[in-house]
Amino acid sequence: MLWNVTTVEYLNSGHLGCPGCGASLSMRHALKALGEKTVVVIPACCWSIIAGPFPTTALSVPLLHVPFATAAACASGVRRALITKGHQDVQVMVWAGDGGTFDIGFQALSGAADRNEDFIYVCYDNEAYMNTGVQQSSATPCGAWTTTTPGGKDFAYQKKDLIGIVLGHHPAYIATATVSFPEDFYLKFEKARKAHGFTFLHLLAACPPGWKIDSQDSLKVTRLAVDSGVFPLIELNESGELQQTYRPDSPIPVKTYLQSQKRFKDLSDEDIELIQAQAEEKNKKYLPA
Amino acid sequence: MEIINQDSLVAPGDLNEAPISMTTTEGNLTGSWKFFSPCLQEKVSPCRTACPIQNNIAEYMYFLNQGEKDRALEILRESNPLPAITGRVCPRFCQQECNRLQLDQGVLIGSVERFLGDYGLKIPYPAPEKKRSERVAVVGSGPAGLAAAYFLARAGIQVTVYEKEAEPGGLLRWGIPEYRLPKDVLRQELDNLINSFNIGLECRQDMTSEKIEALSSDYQAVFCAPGLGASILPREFAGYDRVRQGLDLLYDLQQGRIPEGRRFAVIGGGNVAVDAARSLLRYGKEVEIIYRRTYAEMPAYPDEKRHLSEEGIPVQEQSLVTDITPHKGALRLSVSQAVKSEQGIVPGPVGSEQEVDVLVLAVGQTEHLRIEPKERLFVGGDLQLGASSVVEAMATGRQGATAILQQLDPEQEAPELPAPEPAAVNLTYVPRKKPLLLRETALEERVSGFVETDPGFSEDEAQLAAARCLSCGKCTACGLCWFFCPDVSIALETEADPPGVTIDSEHCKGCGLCAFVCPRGVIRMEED
Repeated sequence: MLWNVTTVEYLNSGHLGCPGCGASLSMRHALKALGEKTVVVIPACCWSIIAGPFPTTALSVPLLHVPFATAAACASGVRRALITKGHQDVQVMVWAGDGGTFDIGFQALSGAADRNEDFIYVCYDNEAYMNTGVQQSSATPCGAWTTTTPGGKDFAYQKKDLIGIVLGHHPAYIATATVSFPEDFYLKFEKARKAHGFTFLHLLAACPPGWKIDSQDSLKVTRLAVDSGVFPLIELNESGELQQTYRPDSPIPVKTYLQSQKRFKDLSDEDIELIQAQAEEKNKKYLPA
Repeated sequence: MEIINQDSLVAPGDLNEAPISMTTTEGNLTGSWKFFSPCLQEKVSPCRTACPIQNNIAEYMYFLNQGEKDRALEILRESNPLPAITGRVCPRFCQQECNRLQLDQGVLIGSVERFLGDYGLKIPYPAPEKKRSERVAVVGSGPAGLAAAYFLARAGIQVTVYEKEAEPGGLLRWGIPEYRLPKDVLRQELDNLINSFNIGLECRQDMTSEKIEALSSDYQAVFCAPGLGASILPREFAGYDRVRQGLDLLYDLQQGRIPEGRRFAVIGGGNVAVDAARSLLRYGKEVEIIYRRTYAEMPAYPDEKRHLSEEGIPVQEQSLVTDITPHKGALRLSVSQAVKSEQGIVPGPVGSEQEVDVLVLAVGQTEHLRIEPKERLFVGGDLQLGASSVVEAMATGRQGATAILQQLDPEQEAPELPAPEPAAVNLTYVPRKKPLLLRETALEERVSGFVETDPGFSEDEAQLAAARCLSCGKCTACGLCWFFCPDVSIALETEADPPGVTIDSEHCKGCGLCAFVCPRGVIRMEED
């Protein structure tokens, strides 16, 4: 089978994700990577809806819907309960959007990371509050259209460097990934599965309606994000440094990435140059692959 | 993490009091959301479109890759009755269009075809499904005539082939040197074809226009592909014993008649010139090519030109022989630099002299028979096309056979050749593979005899080459669409024949990711 992926599915069809949803595809493969013995903890986010209304569920593994600000706290509890009951082999995975991670769930995340709780925190970042109708979050990039930033997000507010913040908590493992780079995606989930302690995975997940792209472009666009350096694929290596896990053969300008989405259509040439400079600055920090 | 003291835990409440979803979302028929539906539609691969006889390369590569050699051969023979020959001498139009060229290395289609062709040399063709009473004559047993004979015989027609020489093959036999096409391979391929279909063969039949006319009253139809039997002789070279025509020379060499003399010059830049030069080298002659344009402009096939250079045969580019004078049993050539002018290529002022024992002309062929196509008389091969490749000649043979069958049986619809709709492929998720190396016979061994320059592929190499083929336009159930479906709505049928995928239209939301990722361009989104 392709990339030695299991044919067992833990995501059911009939889920309520939009056509071409990056978060749904990411969940499908995250669970294939982690396997049957996984408990998923979901705060308020797109996935609260995608998972289906009571009494249905889109997952064939246990899923806990928890309040917006509490994903990391609840996951800590689930982990401790599992240990108490002797189920050390069960994975706990938080599956939160950027709102529940960068903004509302931030202190719970910081607390769990600080206590080095043994679970995997996955933030599927679609760069705004998509579930409630595309309001900006602190993960929204500069210049992007949302309903609360109709002229594009102000350049005074850059996308929060969450990787940098979580890194400051000394996690066991940390990485960025996106499902349009499947080998890299699976390798990182495998490392997260094997790591002991707090693990943070930052996934870029395309949102066709929120990013104003065609549903069939949702893989292409996240590949452009990586190839342009807007979303570098990195991980914490054994020496405790962030390292690129993939370096594009021929990097493309961020302009190509930005022009692939209508949420960036009002950017001026100066804006694009600024974003190009920001991307280059960010990438300089990481060790070469 | 330390185990928490059991006693310190608050006893949990009854879990059954909390709402728990226990049924799946599969009851949501999300397929009703969609505006577009993915449709599986096989396309024509660009290699097939480029192939004059439209070999179904994507299909036979797929079956070879599955280890089904016989099935691969059967598919190849659908369109090509001479694969061991074309696998050696075809200029490989297909390879220039291979989608894989954009990724790492194009598929070495010709070498795989040759492997399959060699495998088929001893495997007879299946008998035609029905025998028919009509008889058709074919004039000329070159590639066009043989292809016509094959497509007619396969339809059950009784075919008789008339050949001028003592043995069949036409230019294949006496125009192509053994280092490109060994006689043994030619004999086996032709014997197998002729014997499988019981094709009548009348050799040593020198046809004239009148005789061909006569044939058309004896047979229901005649397909005429006698080739271009006359070599062009520019006036200034006429009347000299030591001036030879390239094809005549090749013919003599094939018969074992080696011309006297040590120093040879060949005028021309096509395959005949290169074949003549390389053959003479193998008989220990000193040989050079004189060509009026640049080396890059020589119309000989690129591989042949490369071999020419490797074997150390010099090419005097942009040179014209303006005059020849016999001199002490040799020929003295006046060679001028060729200059492009409005009148074409003309001799420039600068000239030099050189002496050769024999001057070989390879400046083109022209017809030796004038035949006008008419009812029941069809024309093909080089006589129709002008000098062309083996495979292009074969294409005319197939067209001729199709036209004859149509005329014999106007009710029957002509077999529809696939429309050249290119398969738009996405190579993003195709893993790169290490390029394959083409082995070639060592230079010393090559120039000292007529061993094949290209030793061909072993079975393992052919398999590796076939494994590189994406089978553009054909679903192989590779699984990429399944992998990238966010709605778990694609099932793979790897065991099916042909393999494929099924789409759960009750749940598919029509996002189109399957169509985007498909590396073979088989899925198309259609508006509901």
